[in-house]
Amino acid sequence: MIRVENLVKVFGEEPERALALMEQGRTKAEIREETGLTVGVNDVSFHVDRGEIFVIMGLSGSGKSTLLRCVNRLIEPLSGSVFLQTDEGEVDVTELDDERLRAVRRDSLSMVFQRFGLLPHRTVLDNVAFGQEIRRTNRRERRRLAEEMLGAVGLAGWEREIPAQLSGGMQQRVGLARALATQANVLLMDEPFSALDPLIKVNMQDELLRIQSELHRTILFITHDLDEALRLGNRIAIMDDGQIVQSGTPEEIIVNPKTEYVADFVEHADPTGVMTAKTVALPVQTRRFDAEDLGGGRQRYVRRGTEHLAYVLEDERFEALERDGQRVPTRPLAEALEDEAPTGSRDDAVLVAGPDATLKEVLQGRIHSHLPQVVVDGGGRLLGVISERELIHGILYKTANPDVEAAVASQAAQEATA
Amino acid sequence: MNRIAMLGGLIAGLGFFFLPTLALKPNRLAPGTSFNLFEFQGDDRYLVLFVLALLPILLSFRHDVESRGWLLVGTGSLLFVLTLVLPAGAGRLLLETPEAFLDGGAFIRNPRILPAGAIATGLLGAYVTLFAGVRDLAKVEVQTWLQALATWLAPIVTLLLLLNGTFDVYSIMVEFYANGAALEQKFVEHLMFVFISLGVGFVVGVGLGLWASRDERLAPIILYAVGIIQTIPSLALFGVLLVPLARLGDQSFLATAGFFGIALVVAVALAGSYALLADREPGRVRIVHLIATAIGAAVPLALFVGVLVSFVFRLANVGFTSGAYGDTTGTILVLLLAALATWGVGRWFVPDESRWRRGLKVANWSLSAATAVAVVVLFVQASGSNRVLGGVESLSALTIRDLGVSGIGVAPALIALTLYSLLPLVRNTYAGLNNVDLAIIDSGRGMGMTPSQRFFQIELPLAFPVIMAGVRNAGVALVGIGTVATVIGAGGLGDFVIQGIVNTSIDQILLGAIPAIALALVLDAVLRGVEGLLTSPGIRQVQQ
Repeated sequence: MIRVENLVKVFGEEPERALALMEQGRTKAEIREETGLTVGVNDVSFHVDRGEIFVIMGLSGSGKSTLLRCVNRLIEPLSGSVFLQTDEGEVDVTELDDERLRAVRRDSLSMVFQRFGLLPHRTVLDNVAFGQEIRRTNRRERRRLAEEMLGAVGLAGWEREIPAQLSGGMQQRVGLARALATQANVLLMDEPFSALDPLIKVNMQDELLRIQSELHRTILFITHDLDEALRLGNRIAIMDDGQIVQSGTPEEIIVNPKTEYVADFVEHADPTGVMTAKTVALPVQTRRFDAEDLGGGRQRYVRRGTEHLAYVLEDERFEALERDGQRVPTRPLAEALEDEAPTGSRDDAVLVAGPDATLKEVLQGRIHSHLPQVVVDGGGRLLGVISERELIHGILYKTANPDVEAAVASQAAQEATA
Repeated sequence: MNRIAMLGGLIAGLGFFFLPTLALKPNRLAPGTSFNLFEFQGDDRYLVLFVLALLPILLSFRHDVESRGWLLVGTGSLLFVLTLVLPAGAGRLLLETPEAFLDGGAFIRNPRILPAGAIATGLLGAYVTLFAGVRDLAKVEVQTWLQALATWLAPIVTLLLLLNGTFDVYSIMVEFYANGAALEQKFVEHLMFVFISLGVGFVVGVGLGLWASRDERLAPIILYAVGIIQTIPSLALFGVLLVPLARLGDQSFLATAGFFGIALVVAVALAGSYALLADREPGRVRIVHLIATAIGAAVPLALFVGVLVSFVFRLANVGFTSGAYGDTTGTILVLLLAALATWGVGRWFVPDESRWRRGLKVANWSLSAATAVAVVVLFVQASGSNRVLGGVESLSALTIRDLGVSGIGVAPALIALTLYSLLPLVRNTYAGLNNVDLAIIDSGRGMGMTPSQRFFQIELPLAFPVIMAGVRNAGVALVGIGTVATVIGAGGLGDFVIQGIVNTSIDQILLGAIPAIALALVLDAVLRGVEGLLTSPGIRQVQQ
């Protein structure tokens, strides 16, 4: 949907001077010292897929807002390309003349701002309809669209109010409705919730996810808040000093921070909503388990230290958990989570989690059963088990279980030799 | 306790006690004999003023705010009216037998009654008391219309009494009756000074302010330049303009038109080269090029506007004040009022999307156009008057002076006044445009607005209140500075003031000053009203 390639922005007089230095790999500080130029965005490339929320996260001064503004050329990039999928096919935004750039801004890219940017002299309805007004949509149609979008953001009935009469959260809802009402497929959101109170911020994030699940726009979202990035992003790119230092799914970032900078961020993040069962689950084919072949393709695995529990597999598929030789009933985790929390005994079933169940869900599952949970993939193949130990490890260290890594590594080694 | 009311009572009371109330002058120029409130002969009803002046002091100790407010309003209003009415009666008595009250040697001819200090302090004290009372009423949240009534009752009664002739005994009124026709003409002249220079200043000032807001490097230069103009004493500015304008006046019209044409070509060439080359020039050269373009355009433009405006002023002055074109001026007035009425009805009484709205809009536009046409007709008629083009026989004999530009007179006054109006206009336009929230501008750009859409739909409405404040400042200042224009023979209300100074006749000074003050206040109120009407409620709320 959006493909950004080798984008560069340098602030100052005659910015071209910085290009050669950047090619030599000089840092932002060195270039500043030498030329007095400020590198805003340093050779950034990324792509955003259709219907995805792509979050760019970084501290202030990391160049994330500049990067976003280069996408719709509110700030003119020095070099690089921004390919955008529009109704008329793919265009390079950086190549457009003023007239066509305005057309792209009107029709294909809309933007939400941190400080809302609402027109104080227009009613809420007129603000939301404004984008359509610029496109010269007829009055009735733009009114209908605006009312629909106000309904979508939960502001029906506020049409006649003036922005100044609204709270910050409501103003940003108007800003969001305005961006949605342009019918543009791509939304650029520049720290839209950063100016809001924490509680309202979380509400707005939920709201955005809800709206996104209905409207499926493509969203490029800027934030300095990792928790927000983890909550919203299908994929996240982390920026530092004008460069993207790491990008990937929230879990990849949390589990495997590539630089010190990313690690610092991740340290204080809450991993439970991001990390998945498959990451922390301990495979049974590791040294912590004793295996016993039952014949006919069936095996029984017993974990050292918890000898009263045995996992029975058939063709690598999970068959049952035996406790002291008795089979325990099996139940899907998702189903258990729909029940109310039990008040009495809770270890009557072993819960089966999908590979993408979050740690939060696994934790909630522990309320229903304190037996280890088993993680199976779509085909029923056992990926591993999650006992208290794996949970604690995952939450504390935000990494995969070392045994998992070892298993993965040995498997890779086996495949390599084979 | 209401300290303000106590202050009002003290001002009025002490004034009545220590200051003379009236002065009886044997003739227009000679100093007269002053009379204290106690010295009035006859009955003791004048002591009512004393009582009324002391009453607020006693009332100010009342605890119940609402009744205190009403009592203070009543006392203040009564004091306000009676301070003018009662001495007028006394004055009439004095005039019946002026010899009895004057020194034997006085030359008595058309003796006059001059209101003196105690009337001024009395009015001030009454107003302060009234204000204190209305403030009390506001505190207990009496309905707004009652507050307004309380505030305006006394001035309205006073105005009715004035129209009724109750105050005709006072010398200022005598002066007014003597100079009524002249006053009207000077007032119109003054009004035209203000409106024409404010109009031209508005275009130039807002233009410069806009330019300054668009170019950070030029902004300090522009602001500094208009600031400097403001520091030049107005008299000096008139003097500076004297010689060049006298020279210009001597030029033949055709020669000037030729020069104007050449200068225009130069300006267009400069602007064209700037448009073509600016992007390729280094920063410093570009600025020089830009300033050269600006000056190249400004000089012929200023010349043209100066001549045009002086000529229009002359036409308007003849048209409106000579009395020879009563039918046309009457038509203009009627059309203007009708245009205003259609606008007002359309705005307040007709819902947004009704058929009537469109009809009224059309009516409004056509009435406005008709007004403009009528003004043009008036000017054409006035150009036939021999006060306009005098004895000019042929086009080649026509000089710029015949068009109204000369070293003294209206032209330098208009130029100076226009220059003085620039600072508030430029500064406020610049500040207004610069303070528009960047996020809002960005959101406009992000939505794909063209620069002109952005300017008219975002920047202008948001900066409008600030720009209008500048217009108000400039307008009020121009009314005051306009009185100085009399020294270069430009006319206006200053004529009375300077005559009064020459004659040491305070009545004449007041005859010029009071209309000027009233004009300034009314202009301020009207512009404030316009600002309020045209500012959207959303922006007003943001300002608060």
